[in-house]
Amino acid sequence: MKAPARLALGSTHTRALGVLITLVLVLLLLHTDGAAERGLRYVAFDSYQREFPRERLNDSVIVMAIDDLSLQRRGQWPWPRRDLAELVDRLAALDPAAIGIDMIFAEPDRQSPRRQAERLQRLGYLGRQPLSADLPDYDQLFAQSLRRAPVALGVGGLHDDPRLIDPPDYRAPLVEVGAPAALFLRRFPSVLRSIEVIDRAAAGHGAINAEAQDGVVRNVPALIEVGGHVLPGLAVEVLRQTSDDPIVRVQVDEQRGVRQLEVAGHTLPLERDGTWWIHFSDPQARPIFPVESFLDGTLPPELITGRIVLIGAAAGGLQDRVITPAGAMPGVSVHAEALDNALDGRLLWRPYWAAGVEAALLAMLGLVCVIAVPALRPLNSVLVFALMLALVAAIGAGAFVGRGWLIDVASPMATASLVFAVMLSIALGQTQLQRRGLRRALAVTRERQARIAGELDAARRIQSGMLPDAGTVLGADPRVDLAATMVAARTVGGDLYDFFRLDDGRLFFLVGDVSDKGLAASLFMALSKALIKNAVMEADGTPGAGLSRASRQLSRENPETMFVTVVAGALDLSSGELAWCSAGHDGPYVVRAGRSETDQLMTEGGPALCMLDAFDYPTERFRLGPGDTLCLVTDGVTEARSAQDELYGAARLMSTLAIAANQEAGSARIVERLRDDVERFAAGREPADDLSILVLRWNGGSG
Amino acid sequence: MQVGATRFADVMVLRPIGRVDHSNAEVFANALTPHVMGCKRGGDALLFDLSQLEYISSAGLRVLMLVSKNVTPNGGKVALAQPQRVVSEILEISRFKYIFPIHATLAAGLAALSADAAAAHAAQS
Repeated sequence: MKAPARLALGSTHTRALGVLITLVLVLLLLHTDGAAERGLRYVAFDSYQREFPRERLNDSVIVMAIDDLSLQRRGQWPWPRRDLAELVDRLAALDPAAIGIDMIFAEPDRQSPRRQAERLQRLGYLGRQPLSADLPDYDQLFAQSLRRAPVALGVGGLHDDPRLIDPPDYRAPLVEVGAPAALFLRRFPSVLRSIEVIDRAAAGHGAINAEAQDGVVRNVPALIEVGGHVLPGLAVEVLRQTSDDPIVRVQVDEQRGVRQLEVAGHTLPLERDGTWWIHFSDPQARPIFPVESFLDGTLPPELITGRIVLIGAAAGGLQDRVITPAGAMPGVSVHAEALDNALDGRLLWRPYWAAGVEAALLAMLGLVCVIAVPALRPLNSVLVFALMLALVAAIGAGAFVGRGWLIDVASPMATASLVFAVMLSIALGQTQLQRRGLRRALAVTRERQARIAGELDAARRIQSGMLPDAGTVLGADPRVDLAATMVAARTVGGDLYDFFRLDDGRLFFLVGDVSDKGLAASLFMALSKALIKNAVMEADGTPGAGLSRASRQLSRENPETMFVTVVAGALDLSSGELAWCSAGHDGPYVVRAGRSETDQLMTEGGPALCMLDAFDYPTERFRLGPGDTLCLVTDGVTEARSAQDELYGAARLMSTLAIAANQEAGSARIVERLRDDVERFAAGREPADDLSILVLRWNGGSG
Repeated sequence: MQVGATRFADVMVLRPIGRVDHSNAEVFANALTPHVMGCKRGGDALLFDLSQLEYISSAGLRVLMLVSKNVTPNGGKVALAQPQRVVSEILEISRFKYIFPIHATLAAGLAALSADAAAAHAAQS
């Protein structure tokens, strides 16, 4: 059965296709950075954060917040800056490492008494005498407090330039190594900052931007660029305030951009644009102290000493909440997280070579698909691929946990799944095609077998129908008793027997064997039978002359070069005179009436019909006595084999025939006994050859 | 069934081993094909050494006859030698002596086909 190869893609082609798809995807992964890729990258990074949240190793950073409790006690925001001045003063008195204020005081304090007085004067509620000089200005008070403390004040980088205020002129003490950082940093045209008097008072300024990508804050800028100047992020600036070394050093590569930043003895690996990936801890695990509980003295003072204090807004109404991979938290906590990362040395880094590793992982996964899918059953290839995905996921997680490397395994996993899906669907399609092809082929074979069986059945019926019936040919002629059988080894045989009356007094009979079995042989047998009868009639019933003529005629109609052995005889029913001839066939066996042995008639004869183009077959003569039995067989009898591989042989035939001829009254019974004996002998074996037996008993001229 | 082949000068001796009947007659025919092609005037003569052939049916005889019909018009010569008892009887009944010379021994067969081959055989034994 032939597989329907032309319908299916060869596995070589499938593999070539898989390699091609993988290559394209690798190139895409290396050279593009689309929204889909970024989305996948964030999926990977966020899962790392969720599965392996940072453990908080120290509590050097205190978040102190204007929270709901504080608002409830002290009143609505904004508070008078006198209160904030008090807060800073009291904090400074406890000697914190640094204070970071995640707020911008962009307008003057309207509650400042001097400002109130001016306003009341303008409105005409107060007299014209100048009061204001004696009244305190809260902004000034706050500025004085700030000046006395190590405070880093927040400024906000603005994406557009609202021309709110002049650009800042303060310079961070920055040492750039390699290349100017400003080339690569995120650029903000202007900043939103506190009013001049407050802004000037702070020891340092840090950008409070913590921008979300698709709604989630994952990193903070360590450095930004504003109007050509480099400004540190709030966390970096706070760190700087804790140290005696005021210098921020940044390493920049001309090609790869910002590499790393050193501040206060901490080294932070940075993205090329100066952003800093934060490993978040569980927000529930970070206490947020209400400002009010510090101001009212509930908070133990030793909590402040030596620690970094970050002040920000956490009240629901103040709208400073952000979403991080670890969950929602007040904006100020993001800076606290960043500081924790620096202090603990738990630093995340997306290596510049990460894209190469991701492409390699994709190539590896693609290769697995290309090799495994065409070779394995679909279920197994799913298993193998799932294992490989798990391995890649483990590589990503291991790099994150062990080294803090951010390797995006989601992109190679997702894109390789595409390769896998394509390969698998081709494989499944092929399997189905093959299955369908096999089913079709099976159906065709069955149909063909059925048709052949039908044809063979028909052929057998035709063949059986061609073999003469003794009753029809001989009627109730008392002078002769004839019976014959033919058993085909295959459904149709190459053996033949025939008998017919030449005239009222003569009977012609023959047994033959075509040199093959099966359908072709049976066709040749049919042809032989017809031609021989015709030739014998033309030769006036003389066997030798008839067979000579038949051989010549058959040779002309014999493209397959078959040949047929024949033994034929013409019996004079009145006298018992037998004329016979052999063409490559066994001579007839004779059992004389009343005798218990069998003789075989011998002749020089000739070769099988069609062997030689022109051969004159001699006719032999023999005289039967009344009651003599004549037997003609084909080699299916004498060459039948037993289970032990013995040949039936002429000797056994002769003795069986002798016994049967003496014991049985009719030819039909003798034929039956011979056939039964051969079948018993050959029990358990497929008959190798067709088998024919013809038995004739001459009862004498008058019957 | 197998067919061994040995060359003695310009005679190819083919030695069928086992039985040839209708189930493997085609295998037998295919095994002979390359030798039949070489058997023509000026080429090799074929001598079938039947000493190890146990049985041959009419289908097998037909194969031998086809060999004869194929090579004879081209001047090729074919002969049989040293058939064993059963095969000898079959050949006798089939009157194959009218188709092929049948020799009692290999030496006789070789001698009848080619003096060179007979000499080569004699030199070997």
